[in-house]
Amino acid sequence: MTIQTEKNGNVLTVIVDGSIDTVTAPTLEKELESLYEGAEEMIIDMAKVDYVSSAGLRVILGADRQMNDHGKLILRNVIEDVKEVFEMTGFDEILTIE
Amino acid sequence: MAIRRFQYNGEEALLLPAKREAFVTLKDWLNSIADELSLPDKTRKQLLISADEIFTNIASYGYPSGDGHAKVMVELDTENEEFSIVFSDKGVPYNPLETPDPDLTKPIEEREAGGLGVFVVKKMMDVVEYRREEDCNILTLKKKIVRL
Repeated sequence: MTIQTEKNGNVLTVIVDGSIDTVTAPTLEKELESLYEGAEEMIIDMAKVDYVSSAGLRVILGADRQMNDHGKLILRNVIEDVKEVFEMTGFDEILTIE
Repeated sequence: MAIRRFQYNGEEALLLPAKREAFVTLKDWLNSIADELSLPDKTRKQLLISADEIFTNIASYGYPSGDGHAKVMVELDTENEEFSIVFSDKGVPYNPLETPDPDLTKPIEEREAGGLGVFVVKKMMDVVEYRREEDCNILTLKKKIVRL
């Protein structure tokens, strides 16, 4: 998994490439933790995320909670297979998926 | 019934330290088997996610007092095109099928922690079987390969 970030004013885009699984989720969590401050809107671009396991779901949920304190988190370009996992677990009702 | 067992470096099973990082080795192996069998991409992802959940449980809770291992065996029933992944470990007795499903009608803040991974596995696999044999937890996941 690789993580790339782009900042445009108060909007931060995090581009994730690869699977968010038990091994990579802690890396993503750490990276996101360093980015919350000052970001009003965080966009996670999921176009290149091929699958997410429950370890990844927890990190995304944590990010959503963190951002809700002072802004919002948006998941963009979520592929169909990943969307299915969000739906299966009810996460689609909580997260903002565009 | 013709069963083909996949070998890992000439061994009948893959032996992994029960550490989350070790999932990389299992993932690479499953990906190489998926490539060899030209598994549909969706099935490949479902197998990887399910293996991730089960292995993570063993790595996180199986050996609270120290180091341990998990053994993974992969088989294919070639007649029925049914794929099996069998996990065995000598950790604390744990039957994931006894973990209650998360209550998806409750707001996420009020849901019980845990159980999410096992719930996903039950949804994605056709069969999830647990048995305790001697001092081992043995968990079998089965998934029929559907080629469109």
